[in-house]
Amino acid sequence: MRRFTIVLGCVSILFGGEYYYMNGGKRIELTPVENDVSALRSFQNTLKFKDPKGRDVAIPNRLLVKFKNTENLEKYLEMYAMRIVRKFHNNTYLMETVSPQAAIESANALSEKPDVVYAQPDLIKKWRLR
Amino acid sequence: MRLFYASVLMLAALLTGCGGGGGGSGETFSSVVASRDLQPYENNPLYPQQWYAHYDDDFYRSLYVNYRIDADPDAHIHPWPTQTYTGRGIKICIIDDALDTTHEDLSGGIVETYSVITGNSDVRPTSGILNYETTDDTLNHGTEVTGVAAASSNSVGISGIAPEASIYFIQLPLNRGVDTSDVLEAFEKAKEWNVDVINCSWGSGEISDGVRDAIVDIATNGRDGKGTIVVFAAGNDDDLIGNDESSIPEVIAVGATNIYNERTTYSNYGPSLDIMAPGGENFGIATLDQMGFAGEAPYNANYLEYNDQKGFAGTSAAAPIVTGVVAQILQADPTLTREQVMEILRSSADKIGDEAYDDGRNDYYGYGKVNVVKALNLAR
Repeated sequence: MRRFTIVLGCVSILFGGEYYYMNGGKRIELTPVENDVSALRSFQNTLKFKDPKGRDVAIPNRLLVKFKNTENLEKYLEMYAMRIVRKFHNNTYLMETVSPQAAIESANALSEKPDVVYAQPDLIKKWRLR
Repeated sequence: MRLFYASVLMLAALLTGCGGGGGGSGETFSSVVASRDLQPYENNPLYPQQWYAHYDDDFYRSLYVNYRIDADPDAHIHPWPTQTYTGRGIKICIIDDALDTTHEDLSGGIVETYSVITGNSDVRPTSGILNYETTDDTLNHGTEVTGVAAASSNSVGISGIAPEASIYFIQLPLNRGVDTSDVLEAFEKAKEWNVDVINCSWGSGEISDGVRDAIVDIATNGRDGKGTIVVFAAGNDDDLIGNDESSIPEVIAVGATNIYNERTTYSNYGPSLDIMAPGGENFGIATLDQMGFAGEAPYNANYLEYNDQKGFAGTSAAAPIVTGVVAQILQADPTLTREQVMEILRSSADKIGDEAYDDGRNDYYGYGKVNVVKALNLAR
């Protein structure tokens, strides 16, 4: 597992990152880490990463999507095998996928759709008390 | 009168269901206000220690710092001969890790609580759900923050900056890792409660699109379209405020000053910084500790004093001072929009420090240090 993680990290560096998500129109690269080296503990099935600033993030099988309109909502649910967990304000949805990997891939694919304002995994991380 | 308010509170509890988590409307909560006895500030035993709120000559002399301090060393929170502006009728929402709802200095002030993690109303540090991880974190932060903003003015402890404000508390164990969707839910709950001002003494340093969108939404559309005032701590890294929650233009980013009326050495800075307030450095911000042996205070104390080893200091402490001042401003004129409140804070701030102010601001002090006297003069 450790060897796999190291290889994955090298691939990430050499080829611009296997894991990423879109935030603020920018591509945020993620470096995989093993469960036991992540500061984040979770009962959920997650993939764990370091973000570009070295902070721990975990990705569960969920993503947040905001649509400009919901005309294609049903189509996207079927296309990416998602189900709605919760609806927030302004056409924003928390979606569940079959796996964390699927959440990342679905979020990145949806980010390119013209009727999507943003789509990103439901990142688990620590917010710092100040 | 107290019986009347108690009846209103009971009625609201019946209407909204146990736990406060179940889909009440803004109208449902709008008539609920906290009911507290208001005693003169001087009656609070630790009031002399509240250097961040008022100038106490004896206290400064006892510290031997009075010869170094500026003649204008505090935030001018309690200058009025009568306690006219105390945040009465204004809903302050604190989003933080936990709150000791049994605290003697909050009695009667808490209107609603909600835990995003459990979906119920138990937001105490002792709620079992938060104990899943072995940690030294005592979950004291939310109690400390709430005390600065809105502790009662009575015969125990301290007085909050807005001691008659109605307290709404949302629990997010931010320091232990939460889902981004949990943060969205917190702001959605605050919007549902139709709160007036939200205090966030935390930040991510890398704000996500979803959280940004939720904050901008409530800052724009909250308070029935007038905009909820959202206050964020600027951070304690002595670093440029980056892509952080506090960098959102619709948010008030608060930096910290010390007892010498200077920017603290840790306070974050940059074009996003709006305003300063005392946050403490060496001398901390006297506030609430959890009741009894829990919390950070030594012995069996219910309060953190200015000189406690694990006392409260940081932009986390500065932010609720501004939150309390916002509550006073809104009590003076509840019709003010968020933009108007932000403009009042900017134009009334004291231009402290050695940095030049170009067009009224600089990157290390923002528009200057909050001054409640000037702010209320503009608001009334």
